[in-house]
Amino acid sequence: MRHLTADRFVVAVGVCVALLALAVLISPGIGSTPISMVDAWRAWFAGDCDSVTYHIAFTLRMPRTLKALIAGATLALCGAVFQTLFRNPLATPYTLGIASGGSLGALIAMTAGRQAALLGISSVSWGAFAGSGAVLAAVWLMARSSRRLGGNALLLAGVTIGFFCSALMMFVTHLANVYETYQIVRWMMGSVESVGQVEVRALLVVLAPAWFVLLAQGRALNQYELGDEISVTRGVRTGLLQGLCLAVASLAVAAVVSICGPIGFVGLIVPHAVRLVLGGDHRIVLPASALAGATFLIVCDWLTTLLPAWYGQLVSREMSAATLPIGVVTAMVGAPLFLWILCSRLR
Amino acid sequence: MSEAAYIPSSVLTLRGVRAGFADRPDFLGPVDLVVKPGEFWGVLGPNGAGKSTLLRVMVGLLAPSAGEVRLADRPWRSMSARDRARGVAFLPQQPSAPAFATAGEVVLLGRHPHRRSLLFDSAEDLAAVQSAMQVTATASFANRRMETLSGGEAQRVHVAAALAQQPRMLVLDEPTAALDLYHQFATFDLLRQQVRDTGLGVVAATHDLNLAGRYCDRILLLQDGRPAACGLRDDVLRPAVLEAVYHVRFTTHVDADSRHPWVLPVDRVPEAAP
Repeated sequence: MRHLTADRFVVAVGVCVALLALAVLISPGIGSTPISMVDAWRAWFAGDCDSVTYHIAFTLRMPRTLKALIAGATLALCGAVFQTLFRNPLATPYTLGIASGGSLGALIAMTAGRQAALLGISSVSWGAFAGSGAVLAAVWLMARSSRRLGGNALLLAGVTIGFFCSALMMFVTHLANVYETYQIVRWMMGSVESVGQVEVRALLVVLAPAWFVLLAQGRALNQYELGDEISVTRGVRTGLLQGLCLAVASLAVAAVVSICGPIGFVGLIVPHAVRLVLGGDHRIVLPASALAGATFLIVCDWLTTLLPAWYGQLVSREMSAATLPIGVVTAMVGAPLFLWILCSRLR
Repeated sequence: MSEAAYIPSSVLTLRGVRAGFADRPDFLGPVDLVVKPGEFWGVLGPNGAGKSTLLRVMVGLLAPSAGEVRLADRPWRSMSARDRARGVAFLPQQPSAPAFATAGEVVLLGRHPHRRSLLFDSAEDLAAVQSAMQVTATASFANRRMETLSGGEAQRVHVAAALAQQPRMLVLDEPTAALDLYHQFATFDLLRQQVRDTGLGVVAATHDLNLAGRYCDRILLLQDGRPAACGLRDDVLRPAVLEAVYHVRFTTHVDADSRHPWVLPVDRVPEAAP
């Protein structure tokens, strides 16, 4: 009998925490400039703020790692919630068109000419957030009028809105100049490269409450999987649960997309992998997905600098771009991994 | 049924209940019904007679457009979702099971209304799950995934979950619809045993007149949303009553040993359009 005792929870979630802590610990030592992790942490504890080691490890690399951590945790957590909420294993945080809306908003901001910043956050990010918000508002209005929240109708609406935004994106991209086009393509691949710690703090302010709200829904989501009739008669207010989870998760994803771009695959594969290993109990799946997603994206961020270096050695020439966009890595690692999960489930 | 098991405070009462859907808000009713602990009720009627609608009102999935549902002396409307869930459990026709859940985990989910912490299960939860799996003979496959179970096994797991919920009333919508003959008897035997041993009140909608005749104490027969007959089993399962509702001719036969009525549908009543 697999019931949830404090022991079992601590073991499952503890392993995930340990892996994440290990990843954060190693991170300052990984990048194009060779710095040993031990030296980096020695500089940290010595408070040696002026050294080059400290600068590279904690001014350049650590904010990236933290952004990867925050984005990975949010995307995987929201992916797990969306898959259950839509009762569809292919649902992702972007199923409702948030990524397309956010990208369209970012594109418009990029091609608007003058770029500015508000509260230390660029106009591109604000544009992305506005775009995501517009898509969410559209989906919400449609859901309200069709009164079938959580059904396939909502999925179809989201996908269709996504296509519509993609068409507008192509329109904007086609009319943009070469430099803007490069910027657009680059943004679409997602990034955790840092321009400052403001973004990390802004993300945390928005996302920490969202994490708490979503993580507290484990029991309710377990009931939700049994269907509306059973869960309602067991005391779960399914309408409220759907509305709350959709709103909170969508806003959280919109915040991540605005800062990091539409990083793909994390929200799809991490929850699946977690369910395969740890079972389907959401009281464990939700925190474990968040922790595993954070770890996964940090490791992918390592590969953004390691892969070009290895490839350069392979073909023996200096690489012009030292860092890959993180979306390239998550798709390269994530797609085969997801195919493997699919095949093993079909067997 | 022993006197001790009879708890009068957990009577489910429907008074002048009407209900329906957007285009026919008063399709069902008025229904008056009193389900006592230790009673096994069958809800019968042709397709579209309102069986499922009535059950949905009973368990709080559908608000009545008129009249009142009470559990003990508390109106349904004034009760919290959690209190309702502690009083009445519902097993719909085709419950879905979570993709990754084992049988034991599904039974454990029945404990939701009794939860004490956001995360962890209590010792009482485990005890309730174990005893529910014992009486339903599901303990042997507690660790098997739901998708590997047969229809009969899965049904018993869902019944076990409803029992682990420890309700005073259990409402089931066609619990035998997808089961073979053996498991139809097994399911009703199990319910009958719970009614007798624990004073559980059971309301089951079914199409099977003979299962109802064999197991139910009382029967509510619905026709076009209205009760055509309501009361003791032997008063309802009479050819004249059934013929008027089903538009089918019946012969009946009383089992010599058990005194249960058996009804045998013979033919369509030709002139009646259902």
